Amino acid sequence: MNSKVKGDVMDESGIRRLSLQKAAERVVMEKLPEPGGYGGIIVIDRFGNIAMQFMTAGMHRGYVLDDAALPVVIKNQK
Amino acid sequence: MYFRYGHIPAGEKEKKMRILCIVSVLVVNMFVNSSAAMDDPQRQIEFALVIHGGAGNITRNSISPELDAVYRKALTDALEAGYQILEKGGSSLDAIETVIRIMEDDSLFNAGRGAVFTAEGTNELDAAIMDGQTINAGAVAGVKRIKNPITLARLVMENSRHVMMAREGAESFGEQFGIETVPEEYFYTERRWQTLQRVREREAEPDNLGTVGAVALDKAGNLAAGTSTGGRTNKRFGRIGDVPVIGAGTYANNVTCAVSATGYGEYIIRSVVAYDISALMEYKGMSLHEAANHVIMQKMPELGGYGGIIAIDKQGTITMPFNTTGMYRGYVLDDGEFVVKLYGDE
Repeated sequence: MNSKVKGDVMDESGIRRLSLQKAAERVVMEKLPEPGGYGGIIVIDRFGNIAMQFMTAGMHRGYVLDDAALPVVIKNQK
Repeated sequence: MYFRYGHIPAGEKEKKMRILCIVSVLVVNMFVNSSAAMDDPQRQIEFALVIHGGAGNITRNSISPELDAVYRKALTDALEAGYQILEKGGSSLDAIETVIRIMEDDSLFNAGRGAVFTAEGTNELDAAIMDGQTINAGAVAGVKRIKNPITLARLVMENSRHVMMAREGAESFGEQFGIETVPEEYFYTERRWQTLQRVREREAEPDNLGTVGAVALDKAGNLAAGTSTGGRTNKRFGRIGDVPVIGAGTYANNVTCAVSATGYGEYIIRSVVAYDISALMEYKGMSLHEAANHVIMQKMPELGGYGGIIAIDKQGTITMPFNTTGMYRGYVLDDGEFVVKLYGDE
């Protein structure tokens, strides 16, 4: 909450034009741990770029794109 | 006087009128106050305090000269108490908590004693405080028996591992630390009760979006922000506004600024107003003044919201933009000159 994770990614990708992945990394890997926080995020931009960034040991996560491939599901691992 | 409002040339006063297509169609003052010159832009202001007592339809026609004087005195008294603390080297957190407590105890403002009524005829209070040095924050929502919600917010920040607590749980937590409680009738004031009856009859939107807030810079160079409110008249279903949402109505970060907002809470939450101002400074390199004006005068009205903010940065630059007709507001810098304003044309 304190680090306003979601807002940060939006501001950074929107204003500084960092890629979604870079913005997510900067916030989750650098800013979030600074005051002692930990966790992860999933994020998508209006072009359909996605990022799933976490700084814990693992995160249950998954995604599906429009390419008709099966959904990708990753269970709690790097 | 070394008062600085961003980088606006001395003497230039810009005022535009605009009508917003919102429920109550408020006349909006696009208002950039730059009456004080920037004699020395490099001068570091040692300490400063800015307060607000709510934004809304505040005009010379809607407020009698007597009430005008009462508001000005109340704002000045609050500023003086905060100035005493900062001048002696006290922390920005102590200053804003003290100032907000004074405004909470004054039935003039929609916070603490003067909180507005919910649709059920109760009073439910929200408050938040944030420390710009540690990025710690505390907030309480929907409390009914706490005399000074800002102090409970500070207890949450300093004595728990959490940031936000609500309702009975927040009250029980405060009682463990001996916080002062009051019977619910303490918050009954005739003026607010009549407002509720009027709003119920017309099913109208309330005009005055009271809330109190303070931001400060102390001699150690630390920023802090705090906000306290009774919310919106006639609010229902356990509605919580922007005040206790960190980043929306309240935010402080020594890297950028401290902000306290007032206005239509739902829009302040959706615009993440306070953090957006900080982010524009951090990522885009905007000055405090540019960032605050961009958010309050452009982005918020575009979404349909209205209100105002007070903000301060690490150099002691302050700004108080609002897009309503008026905002109860005031500031004092290290020179000890108290400035209090109500309307958009002053």
